[in-house]
Amino acid sequence: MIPLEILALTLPLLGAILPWLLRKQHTLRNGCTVLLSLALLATVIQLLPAALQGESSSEDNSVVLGSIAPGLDFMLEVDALGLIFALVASSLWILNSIYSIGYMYRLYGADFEGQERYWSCFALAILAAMGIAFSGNLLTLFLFYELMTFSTWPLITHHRSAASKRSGRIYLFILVGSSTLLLLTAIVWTWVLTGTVRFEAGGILADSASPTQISLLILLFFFGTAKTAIFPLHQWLPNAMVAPTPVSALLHAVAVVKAGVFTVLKLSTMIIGPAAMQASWGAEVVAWFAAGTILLTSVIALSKQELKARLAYSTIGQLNYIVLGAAVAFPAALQGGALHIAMHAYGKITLFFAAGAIYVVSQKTRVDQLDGIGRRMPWTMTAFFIGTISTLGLPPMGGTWSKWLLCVGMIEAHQWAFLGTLLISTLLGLGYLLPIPIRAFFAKENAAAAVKGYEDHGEAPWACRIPLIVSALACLVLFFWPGIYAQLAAMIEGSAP
Amino acid sequence: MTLLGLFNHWAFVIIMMVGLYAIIARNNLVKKILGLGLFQTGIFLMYITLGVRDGAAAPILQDDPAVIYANPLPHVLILTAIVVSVSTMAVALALAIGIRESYGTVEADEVAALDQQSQEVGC
Amino acid sequence: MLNFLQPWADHFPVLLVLIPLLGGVLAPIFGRGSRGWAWAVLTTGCATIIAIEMLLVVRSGGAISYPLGGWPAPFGIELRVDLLSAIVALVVTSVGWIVTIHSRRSVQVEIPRDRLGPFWSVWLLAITGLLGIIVTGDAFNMYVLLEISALTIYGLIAMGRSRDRKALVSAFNYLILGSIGASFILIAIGLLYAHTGTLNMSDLHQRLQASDGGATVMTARAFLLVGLSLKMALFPLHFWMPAAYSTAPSAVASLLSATATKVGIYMAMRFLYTVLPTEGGALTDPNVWLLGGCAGAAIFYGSIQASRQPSLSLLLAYSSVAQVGYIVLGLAVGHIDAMTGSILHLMFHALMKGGLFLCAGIFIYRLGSNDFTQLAGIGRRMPWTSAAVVLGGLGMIGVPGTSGFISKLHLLRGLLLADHPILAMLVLLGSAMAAIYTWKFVEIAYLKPVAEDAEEIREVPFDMLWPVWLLIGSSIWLGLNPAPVVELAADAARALLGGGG
Repeated sequence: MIPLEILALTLPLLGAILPWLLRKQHTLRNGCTVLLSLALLATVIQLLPAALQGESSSEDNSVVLGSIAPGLDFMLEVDALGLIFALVASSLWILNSIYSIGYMYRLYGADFEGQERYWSCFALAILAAMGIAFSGNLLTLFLFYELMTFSTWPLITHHRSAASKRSGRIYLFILVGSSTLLLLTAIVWTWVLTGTVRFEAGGILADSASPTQISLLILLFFFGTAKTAIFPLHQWLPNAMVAPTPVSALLHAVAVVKAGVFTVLKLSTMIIGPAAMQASWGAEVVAWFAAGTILLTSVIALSKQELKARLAYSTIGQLNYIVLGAAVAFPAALQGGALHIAMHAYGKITLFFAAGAIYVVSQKTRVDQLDGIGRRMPWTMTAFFIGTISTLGLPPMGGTWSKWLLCVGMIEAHQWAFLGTLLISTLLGLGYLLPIPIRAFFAKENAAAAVKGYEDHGEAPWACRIPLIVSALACLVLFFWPGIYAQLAAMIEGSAP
Repeated sequence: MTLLGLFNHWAFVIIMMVGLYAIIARNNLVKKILGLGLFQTGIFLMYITLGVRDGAAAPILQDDPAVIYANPLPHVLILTAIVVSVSTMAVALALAIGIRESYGTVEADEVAALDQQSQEVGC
Repeated sequence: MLNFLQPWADHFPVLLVLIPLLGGVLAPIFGRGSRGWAWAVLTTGCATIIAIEMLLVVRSGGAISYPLGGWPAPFGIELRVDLLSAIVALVVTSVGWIVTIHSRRSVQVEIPRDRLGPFWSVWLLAITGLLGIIVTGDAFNMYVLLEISALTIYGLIAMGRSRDRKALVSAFNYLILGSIGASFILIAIGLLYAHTGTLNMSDLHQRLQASDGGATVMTARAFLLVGLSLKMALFPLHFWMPAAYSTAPSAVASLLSATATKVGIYMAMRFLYTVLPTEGGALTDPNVWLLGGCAGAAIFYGSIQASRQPSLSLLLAYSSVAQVGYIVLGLAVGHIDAMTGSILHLMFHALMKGGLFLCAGIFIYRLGSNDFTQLAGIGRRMPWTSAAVVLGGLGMIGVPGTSGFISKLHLLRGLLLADHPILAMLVLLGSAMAAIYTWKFVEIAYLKPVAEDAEEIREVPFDMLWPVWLLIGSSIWLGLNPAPVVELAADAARALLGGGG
């Protein structure tokens, strides 16, 4: 019987190979992709019971794939934080596969160019997400972190235009540059200092590094993980929006960026250790950068008229909530950060799905074109409204809980400035997101804004509509039953007071 | 050790440097090859000097135990090195002939100019 | 061990040289067709098997000493194979074998028919020379073998003339520089002999270690450093290499990039650590700074130049300049982990760069050149070859999961432990810059549209592709399961720093 962790990596791998085998049988390929994604979710769910019983960091449940040197293995291990990320990524892969079919078919036809590459790289990115979620040490995490970077590049440059080429360069330059120059340095330095790179409860650095070294390592780690889009390494994310919308939705709102914040949470709890984080000036610096990023991007988002760009900047802000939580490293802040991975994912993917659905039927990309569109697309815009509320962290949506916990964490840490940052950014969020659904329903439609040839459009195709309805419902459900995610978040190292 | 006592060493360094100068400063490929030959000959002289001992006889085995021999080993070594050097010259000359066939000249700067030209035409 | 080889086990070192030598001498009688190629494959294959067996013997029983002609060392010529030599011998033979298998078609296209017989002969003699350098334990013998390999390599490079007449010029320039380099080594050996009266390498080491050194040894060291730097193309003495690699027949470029510079580096390891006196197994500070500085500059300069080149061959050649920098960096620092990284990179780079140059050759085979203007959109026209280039390029960057990552990881650890954080940052910077030149190819191959007037081309036949994928694939596989190789390299490094096996 193969371990479930291996299975969780194998299923997306099959998904990556399949498109090349079934080049002509599109229906069969689509069916298989959806089936694989369902199977992946089932596999991840199978892993839940054992993890919920605790003992998540004991020796016996790690799987060693290969070894480089003593203390340096490729190794998988399941823990609560990893399961949150894995559950989010695998459940949204299902929705996104269906959505992709609807979106790409409608825009580019059933036989669009480069479709093998598209499906294959998508599955590879999911594989990387699973690998990051279940990695048992820094080395394995780094392996999958880089796999994710390289597997998403072909998706960003899918259109092969000059703009996508430029975005692809920025994407690689920032992500590869930061990870090889900073993150890898930090990993090797940790290895040199401690002789191990394993994730262990309470961190591994506290005993073998001086406070200054720890602070420097924190800076290297946090700024090396540019997938969190922390200022000044955030430019890649808005640029990555040239990709087709399903790519933006799953990868740049969920998998890739969540891989970044997952990494910093993991580093904060299991490499550096919450106690060391709280005591170090390096974490303080990171927290200020994160807070600055939150405010800065909220202001930029206000000024953006391009819908996807506005969502992208909103994503950067939301991600840095989590970075802030990881840097402050008080129990509630960590718990809130972990929960925010899940809550923000469902909210933000709904928004991106809606943005894509609007584009598919009306070719509209700008906020000011959307007046009155709610009457043509009631389902889509209702879902957009739900997603907005959840992203802002207002009841009765799932986002409430994570933001609540983050605020509690700031209070615990007596970080009033950061508490203020969170609240102000919520207000700013109200300013840049809420007007969109409101004007969509209540403003008068502006005929001049319609794109030629798409004046009279209705709802998006069902394959697009169903996923966004489901993810919107998920936001709602997670408010009343945050259940499994809340339980997992409460089990994270250092989240118990 | 007088300056003159190191005569052979001075000679080998000077010969080598003359050769090196020719390699660097001469434009004609054949002259470069000659320079290389000179350069290597300098080294042969160094090796041969290594074998010299004051008042030594040629290293031919004799019955008289009082005879001091010159050290034959460096001479043997340099015999090999001479063979190597001759082969190097042969290959170098063959290449020079090839260059003459393809470019019609053995002047380094003319060859470079021709390469430059063909590159521009190619673009 | 294969049973039938058992009685020959004592003679492996000499067989390793004799087999390709005989093969080379006999090659012309097999004529110009595929039979000459088949003979070369057979010969290199046999050498590979010997090299594998020899590595096993050395691994289990320690270094082999083989007195040539029965004259005991230090009077006779000794062949001496320790772990490092066995590893390098295996790299040279196995990559040489795979490149030989690959190059049947490309050689038929690029070499005039009347030269095919001599071509395989010279090819095998070049391998003979390289293997000879690896197994010999005698300093002067090493010089002679160095010249044998060098002379044949000049010839091989010059055979690129039918594709590009510049091959003649680059071969000529390489000949002049190579001969000067070899002559410097010859002077150094002469000086060491004058100081100690011996030519046997382990004997030399003992005597030099015991003596106080002085001006003679210092002069010898200076000559050696310059000569070896020329041979291994260490910046700033690298300039012959890009010209030679880009104009040589593509099969020759692959062979040289995978073996010739590697053997140069092997000689440097040998001379610096097991011949010249060391300070407790390490180089003295001025040496470290000189070599480390050149290596660091090589990484920086090579990577920048690579991203500015107009053709794939030139890009790969400048990338080699940078990669030699990595290996020399670990060699110079002399920390056990850095040396392990160096030896690992020596092996892995041979695999990756050999594979990449084969790909460059495949493009020449199909398109007539591998200028980037020709390669626009090649990713869709020749998917398998292009994918191999991308994977090899990822290895050059040192992406985790490729073998390039493993060697750089050890190198970094060694540099940090030896207190050279600046050099460690250079290694990382070089990786980032490797991403730039690799992505230059990726963008051209996958994002640029195919030129409208481009003729229809197909992917090359399977018999050209599988050797490429064998090399690239094994470099990936070793990146995921590196433990045995790492252990091997660590043992070799330990033996080297301990003053010779």
